Amino acid sequence: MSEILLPLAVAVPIVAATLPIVAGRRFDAIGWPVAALTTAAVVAMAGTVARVVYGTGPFDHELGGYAPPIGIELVADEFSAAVFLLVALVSAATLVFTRVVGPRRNTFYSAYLLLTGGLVGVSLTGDLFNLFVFLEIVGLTTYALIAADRSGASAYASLKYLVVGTVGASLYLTGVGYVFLATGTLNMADVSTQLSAVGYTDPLVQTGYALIAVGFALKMALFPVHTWQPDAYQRAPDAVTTVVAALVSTVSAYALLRVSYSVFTVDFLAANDAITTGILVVSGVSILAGSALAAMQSDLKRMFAYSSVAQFGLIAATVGIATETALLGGIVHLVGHGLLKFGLFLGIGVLAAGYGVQHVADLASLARDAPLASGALAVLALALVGIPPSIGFLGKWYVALGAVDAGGTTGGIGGIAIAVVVFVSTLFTLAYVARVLERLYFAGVDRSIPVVHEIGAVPDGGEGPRPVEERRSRVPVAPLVVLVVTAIAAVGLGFAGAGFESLLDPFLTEVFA
Amino acid sequence: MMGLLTAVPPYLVVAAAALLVLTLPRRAGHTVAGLSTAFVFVQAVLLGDGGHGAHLATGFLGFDVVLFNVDAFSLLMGVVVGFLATAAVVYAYGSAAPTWVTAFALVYVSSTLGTIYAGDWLTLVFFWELMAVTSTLLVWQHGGAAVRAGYRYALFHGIGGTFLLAAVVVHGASMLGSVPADAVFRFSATTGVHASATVLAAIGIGVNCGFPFLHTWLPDTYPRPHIAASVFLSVFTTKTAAYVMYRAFPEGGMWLAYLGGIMAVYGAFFALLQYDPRRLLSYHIQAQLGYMLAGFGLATAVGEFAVTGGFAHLFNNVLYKSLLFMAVGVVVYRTGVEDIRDLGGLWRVMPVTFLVYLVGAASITAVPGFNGFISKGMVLDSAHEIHLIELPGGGLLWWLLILGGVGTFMSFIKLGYYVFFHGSASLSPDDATPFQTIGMTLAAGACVFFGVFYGQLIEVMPFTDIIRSEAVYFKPYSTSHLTESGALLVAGFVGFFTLKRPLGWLAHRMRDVDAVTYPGLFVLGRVTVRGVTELWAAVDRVVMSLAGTTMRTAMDPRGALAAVGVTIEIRAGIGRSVLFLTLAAALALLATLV
Amino acid sequence: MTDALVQDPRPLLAVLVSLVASGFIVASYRSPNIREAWTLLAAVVKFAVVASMLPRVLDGTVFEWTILELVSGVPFVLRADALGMLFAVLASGLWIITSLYSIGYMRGNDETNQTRYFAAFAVSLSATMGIAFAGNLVTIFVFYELLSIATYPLVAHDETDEARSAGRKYLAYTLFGGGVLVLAGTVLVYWLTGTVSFTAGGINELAAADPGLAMLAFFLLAVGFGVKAGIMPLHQWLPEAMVAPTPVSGLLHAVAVVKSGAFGVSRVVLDVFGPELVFDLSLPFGFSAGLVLSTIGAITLTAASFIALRKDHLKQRLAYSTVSQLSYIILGLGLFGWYGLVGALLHIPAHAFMKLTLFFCAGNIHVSTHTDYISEMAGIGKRMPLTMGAFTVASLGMAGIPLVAGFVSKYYMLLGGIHMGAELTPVAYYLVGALLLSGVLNIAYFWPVIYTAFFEAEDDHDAKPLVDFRVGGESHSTVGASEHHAGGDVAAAGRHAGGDVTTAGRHAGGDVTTAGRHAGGDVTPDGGREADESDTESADTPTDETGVVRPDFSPADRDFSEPAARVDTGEYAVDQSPSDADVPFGVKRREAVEDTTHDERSSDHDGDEAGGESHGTDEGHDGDHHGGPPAGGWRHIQGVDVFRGHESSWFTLGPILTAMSLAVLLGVIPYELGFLELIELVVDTRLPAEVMRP
Repeated sequence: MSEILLPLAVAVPIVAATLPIVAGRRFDAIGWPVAALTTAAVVAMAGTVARVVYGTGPFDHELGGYAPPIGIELVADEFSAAVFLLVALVSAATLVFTRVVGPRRNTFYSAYLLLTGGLVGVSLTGDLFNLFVFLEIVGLTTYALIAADRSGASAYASLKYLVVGTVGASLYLTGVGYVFLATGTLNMADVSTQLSAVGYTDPLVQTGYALIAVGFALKMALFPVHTWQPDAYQRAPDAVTTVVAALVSTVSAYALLRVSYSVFTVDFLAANDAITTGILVVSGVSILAGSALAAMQSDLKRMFAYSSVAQFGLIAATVGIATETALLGGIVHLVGHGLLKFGLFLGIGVLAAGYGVQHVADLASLARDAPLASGALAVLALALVGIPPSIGFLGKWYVALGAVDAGGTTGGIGGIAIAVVVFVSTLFTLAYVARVLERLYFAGVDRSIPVVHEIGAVPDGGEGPRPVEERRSRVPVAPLVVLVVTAIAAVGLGFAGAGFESLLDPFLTEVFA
Repeated sequence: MMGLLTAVPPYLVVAAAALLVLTLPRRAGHTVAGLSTAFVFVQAVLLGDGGHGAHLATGFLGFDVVLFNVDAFSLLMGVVVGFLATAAVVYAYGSAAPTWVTAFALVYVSSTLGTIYAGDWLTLVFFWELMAVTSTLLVWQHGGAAVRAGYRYALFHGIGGTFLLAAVVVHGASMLGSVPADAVFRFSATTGVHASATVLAAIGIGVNCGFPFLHTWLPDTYPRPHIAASVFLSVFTTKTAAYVMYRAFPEGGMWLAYLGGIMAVYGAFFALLQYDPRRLLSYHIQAQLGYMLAGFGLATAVGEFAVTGGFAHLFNNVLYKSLLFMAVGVVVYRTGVEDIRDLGGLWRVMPVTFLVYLVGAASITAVPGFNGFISKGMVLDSAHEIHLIELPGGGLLWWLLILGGVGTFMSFIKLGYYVFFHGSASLSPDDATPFQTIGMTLAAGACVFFGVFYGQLIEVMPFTDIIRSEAVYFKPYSTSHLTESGALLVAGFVGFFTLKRPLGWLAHRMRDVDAVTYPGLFVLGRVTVRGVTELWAAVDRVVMSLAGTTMRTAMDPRGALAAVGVTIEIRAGIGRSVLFLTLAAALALLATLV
Repeated sequence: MTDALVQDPRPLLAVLVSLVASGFIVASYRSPNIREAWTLLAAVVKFAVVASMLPRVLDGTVFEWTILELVSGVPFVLRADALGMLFAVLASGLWIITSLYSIGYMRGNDETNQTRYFAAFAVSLSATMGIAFAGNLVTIFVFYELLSIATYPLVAHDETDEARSAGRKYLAYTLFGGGVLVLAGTVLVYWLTGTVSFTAGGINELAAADPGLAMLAFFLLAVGFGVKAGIMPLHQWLPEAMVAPTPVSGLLHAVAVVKSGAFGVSRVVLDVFGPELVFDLSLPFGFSAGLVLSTIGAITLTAASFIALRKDHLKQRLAYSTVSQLSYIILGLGLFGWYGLVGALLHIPAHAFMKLTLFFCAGNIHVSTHTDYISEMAGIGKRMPLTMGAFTVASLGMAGIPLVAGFVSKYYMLLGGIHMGAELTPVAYYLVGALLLSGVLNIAYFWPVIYTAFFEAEDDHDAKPLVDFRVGGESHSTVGASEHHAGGDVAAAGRHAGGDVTTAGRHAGGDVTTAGRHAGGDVTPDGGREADESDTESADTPTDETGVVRPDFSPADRDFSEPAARVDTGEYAVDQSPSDADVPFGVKRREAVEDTTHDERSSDHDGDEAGGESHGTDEGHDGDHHGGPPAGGWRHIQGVDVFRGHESSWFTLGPILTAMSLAVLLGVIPYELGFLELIELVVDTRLPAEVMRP
């Protein structure tokens, strides 16, 4: 019966999206509760699906009973379940934050729920065209959300994203069209079987893939075509940034991996060195460029936006490398990065809420007033660098291993080059993370008001007692809890490497069969 | 009884005494010190019959070590060191030496004893290094000019010690395989140091022996510290070095013998040019060591006789050299003058000192009836049998030693003349303090005693029975010897008073090698240090500036580019991304055509 | 020698103890005494846990505890074998005395952020334990990175610009070494062999692997770990890191952190590649991978010793000495043979004890007399006899003089080098030469400190560093005597001195609590002592115990020339908020604050700005800013006072003497201390039969 959950998981948020608007006519603050309930439900469903998938194995659901290839099917396998879970959790957790900092309008929550539905759809669909639809849902709602605080800057950023994103989507659609011409079907599984018949070096197929890849590159914001992303992240309201940065690009990357491995299959990648090389080059460049650009930024959100460019470069690289370890690394890093970025932007948002932090400079010695938030932020940032033990390190480890592996076995320098890039990018990442941490902890700024009188002076020169109102941290509690939990999770998952392997093993073996 | 004696390593006793000196009041402390050194003497004497053997053999760092190795050689060292140290302690007490001086001196003596009684190279080098440190402390203690000199001294002996350490290690490593791994350092495992370590050992020990050009620390250091300190210093380091030299090269070797000859001449010559009394004596240390090394060097060429001669000279030298330092010390102590030209006519006001000085001078210049006469005679006789490089009247070696003897005569005539006669008494200080007198009398008595009853001297020496046997011709007071020393005496007097003026002229122009070596080494060091420092600083600067520029460029790319002259809008706008896009699409389409 | 493998959580426990403790430390930040209690407790427990494993490890047992499967085939495992125990026992044991010392030091210095300091210290220690017990390359890498992160707060502790830049440099260097090189090497090894777990004598597959790649992996790993061990030219972070509080420089930058680098290299040599393979990976000119490693070490130790000769700042000199001494270990590890390896490993504890002593002494001098520069230490032996005595002993050891640990390890390494040179390749002889040369250089740069402290007078001593002045040296004076002080207008001078200090405190990153406490004027025992001390100082000037003719400070023979030109290493927070201990006439504090708190002049600390002030002020100012002897020379502490802790608190003296005696004991009875036995066990299990102990 659990397969019915799949359409529900997609449908429920989308349907529920209408509620705030409808009920909003009567109750004005109905948006948040509705969203909370819905996302909670989604989380529950995601949990069940995941349990089933990892327990008994993948399953699917044919929409409307029409059997594929004609009908559309929703598929939950080890990979999609993981992403589904991430989507559900993050979209639920973000609501905790929006509760505090807004936006509070009902329409916002409608859009939010639509977005959730779209994201879930992307992660579950087993149909190429259906994927396009969900991508568009995601895209459109994202445009809306980015502009949610109605400022000129955000409107411009949103417009920019709109144009680029739409182009990307249409490129994808074109690519799908090519593939349809070549294979005559849109169901992923079916396409992959057909493709082997058509032949992987068929120009139609190649072009199709190329267009699809470029389309996703836009959505993921890889280097040359990343330009929409920093503005979007920076200008959007903090809460929106949190969810968008954590999920939107992530599901696009998921789609890329899915299409590349499940639809076009590794044989295709193996057969087309030109394409894989191109992907490697692009991703390598965006790893370096993204990190470098991030190091330049003084605006925190912008900084981590650029870091996303680098990280997605890392994920895209796994397509170019096309080894089992690399794919595993890609998946782990996909999920891990989503988690980390969620945490990071949440942390920044929390500090912004409490202390109006926007630039690196504003962080000066905040650690003394907001120790927990700063600590969590620090942990997440270090995890992003790839300091073990952390999920960040795990992803890097697998990708690097896979890269070296590929370089070693095929003798191709591509893999080795990527490995080197990965190691070097660690330093870049460190460069900007260290800036943040140093500012946060060692700015040497005393934020408190000088106290001349001494109440119970401690007999060492340590932190003497400050007036109480100075001591009280201005960080909202609920989001802080979420933040800390995220940080702990980021570290804890660092030990889960073997777990990931065993969970994803069926998927990998199937892909690399 | 014997077991008890062999169970107590003397150096521990002395070291303990050193601590007591610091804690107890001055008089009590010095009493303890004297007793401890006296114990060393007595112990050595008692061990003389039947005490031989490798006592306190144990393990250190996984190697067999012998901490208390008693044989004829170490015993004779023990006897003389114990005896003289006692005298020196008394003297130090008499000359108002700070307790720290005595304490350091005792530690120094104890490390010396450790070296002497070492039964293996590991233990030996262990104490050898300690000796360098303790003697340095003894020098430094005086402060002022002694400090920097002490630093040079420390560096010299640091280098020497390093060489010896290297020699020992090479020796051990070369022995590996031929003997069980843990016995590689035992003296008993081999005769002398392994051939592969010869040069290292020679240089290492040679620094302490004052080989020519390695000797400059001697006259540099010994005149500077407290007078009591220089009494200690003057005897132990160098004589121990000679002893270790024999341990390292029991077979000797002509190179050693000739080196000794050269040292005798070199030392005596430069001694002639000195006006600082203690500096003059320091040069004679080198000269006298020349005789000992000559003796050891002839070990194979001549035989045990030469070795005995060398050791006898070592033994006597300890006595009279310290005696001379004591006497001169008294003069310095009383007058505070360190230049003999400012002294004169003191024999009236300081008769005791004068007398003692006479004994010492007579001994060192080998006047019949004093101990130097006996031992130097033995060495000269041995040298006379060597005819490698034949010169009229004898071999080159012999002539070198004779020449050294003449120089010795001249310089001590000079010293005595300037200090005790030479014009009228400008100043009238008191004579030696009672305790100084006691100390000096002890040493002086020994000099005379062994000069007269030279049989006793032979008793103390190794190879006694060989010397006593008929095979060896040993008649110190034979006419030939007497005439020989008479000739030396005359030559000395004539030489001094004829060459007085030219020598004085030379003294102002002729500098020792350290005039070149010290600045040379110092500058070399400075150049190296600055070179290295600057090099790494440069490396660091490059790296840092590189990082700096990258950072700046990263922070402000437009500015950087503008600096280069390029002015473009870097930040990719929406238009540009669309451009990228179309390009990408075009590429994709191209892919279809290929 | 049964190599029994025992599943036992104690290794994990040893790691966790201080990690947990750090939590408590942070929690109890309000009451320092409880906080320090946590530190001490953690230290003792940790050592107890480690020590409890020692006996059985000596019998060949190996304690292992697998936490979980990190990635397939690579467990996250802690394993206490002989080699790990060597490091663990050392670090945990020394942490105890360092904690005591830290308490004395930090409080004596009114340091800020002490909670963060102690917490970070605890975390670093657990990371160190992790490195010691790591069972494979990935595990050690994890802790290696953790250590870098955990130490960063300690380096940047002062929050001054110097501290921050030092911190940046530190992170950049160490994370480059760890995050990039070590990780790359690990990945390479994993790819070559399919395993990364440490196996005594080396992973066999590596021997079969392609030599080129194996070589690459070796150097990636060796250099990656070597960065922390300060091999040149990657050593620059170490001297910079000296801005950290002295206990940090002591335990972390002489023992835990830098040794973790050396330890990592030894793991790589002994347990990943194996000595034999390291020697067999051959290069042209009779070199091999190991010999190249040793050569890097040789170059480093020589160059570092030369640089040290020129450093006037004591901690800087010690830092370079550390760089050079660590390279002894690196060098020894490259020597293929029993003695060389034993020497190298033995140098880990040997150097630890000696260098810890030296740093503690430097810190103690700093706390008690606020003197940092050797050129200002003339005659300081009178003021701090025990400290300088310990310093002397330790530096003797550094030069490899017997009776101290340095001799033993050096001796073994020399033996190994010569043996190798004779048996295998003459290249080894140059290494031996470097070792010997460095011994002499050690004498050259440590002796001046000793003799200036004990045997030179404040007003007449060789200008240091010696190389920068003419041959034979030139006489300098560092006595800040002046008419003013001689006139004995104590109150005035005191007021100025105190005033500057307090306001200095205010300007030290505006740490108000410090200044406030000065205002509160809680006079520590030190302060009280200094009070009568300052009187006696002016009283007993012309005494002569040590035979040194003490000066009489008439205005005439004042030396206005500044002390020797120095390499500037930036200010310490302490320079800006010095503790009561080192300010002359400390008791006058309270009144001092009241009338100079709002003093503009105090905004700068150069002293030459103070032209408008009376001359005495200028002097007092310089006096407490630069350190060096107070007016009238050092007070002479002697007799029983020495042991009454009159020179500084026993919190610092105790650790100093302990570390020193450990160094001596290790030099005299290495076996009985267990270290040598442990090391022989390590080496015996790592070497192939033919190069076993002869």
